[in-house]
Amino acid sequence: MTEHQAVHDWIAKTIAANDVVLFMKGTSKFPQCGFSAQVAQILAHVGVDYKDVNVLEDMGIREGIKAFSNWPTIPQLYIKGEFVGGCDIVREMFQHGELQQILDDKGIPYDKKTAVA
Amino acid sequence: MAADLKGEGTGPKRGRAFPQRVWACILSVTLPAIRDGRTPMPMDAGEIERLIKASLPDAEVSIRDLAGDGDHYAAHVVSSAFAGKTRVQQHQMVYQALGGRMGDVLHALALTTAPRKD
Repeated sequence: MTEHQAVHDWIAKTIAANDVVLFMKGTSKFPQCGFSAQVAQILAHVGVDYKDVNVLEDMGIREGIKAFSNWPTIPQLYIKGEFVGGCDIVREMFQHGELQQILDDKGIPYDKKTAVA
Repeated sequence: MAADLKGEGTGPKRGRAFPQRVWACILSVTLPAIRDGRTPMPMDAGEIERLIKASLPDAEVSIRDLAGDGDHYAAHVVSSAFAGKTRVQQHQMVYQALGGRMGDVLHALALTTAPRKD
């Protein structure tokens, strides 16, 4: 198996095994990029549990996730195995209450007080 | 906290230094580029608009220079080609138009898209 294939499989397995996955620079506790920090802050505010993958620790994943999603930048958010978007889209969805709507639709627990009525 | 996430116009102001983590992020892109001999030239707003319109001829493109440094832009793109597409697909079409520059020479382009309503 090529390294490229191994990275692809690892990403596929990770987004299948976790409801919410954020590929980011840094960690949820210590983001190392302003764009990653914004998404981490939104997820913390919404109160949803998620797996953080620090792409700075693995060059293969850092490049591999861009090819996997056909998306040129980090961060990248996956919910139930589906690519939701990067920083701009997540922020826009949060502002319109759509992020919470997806979590509702997929039955993923979060802080319902943050849902837009 | 919700207020400052939702706030418009909270971006960096002209002449104000970015937080350290933003610098770290900028340098993580520019330093390898310098090392590899690629010049991390900031892109001109007109060039961004030209590239987008070359792929999406009917697009209305408005670009704001967020930091006044010719390197941190917010673009809003409206096109009939976005009709029936998800936000992810709409952004992918713009990134496609930018031909691999996004995430490379174009590090900080905040993007919003919308289908034309008419």
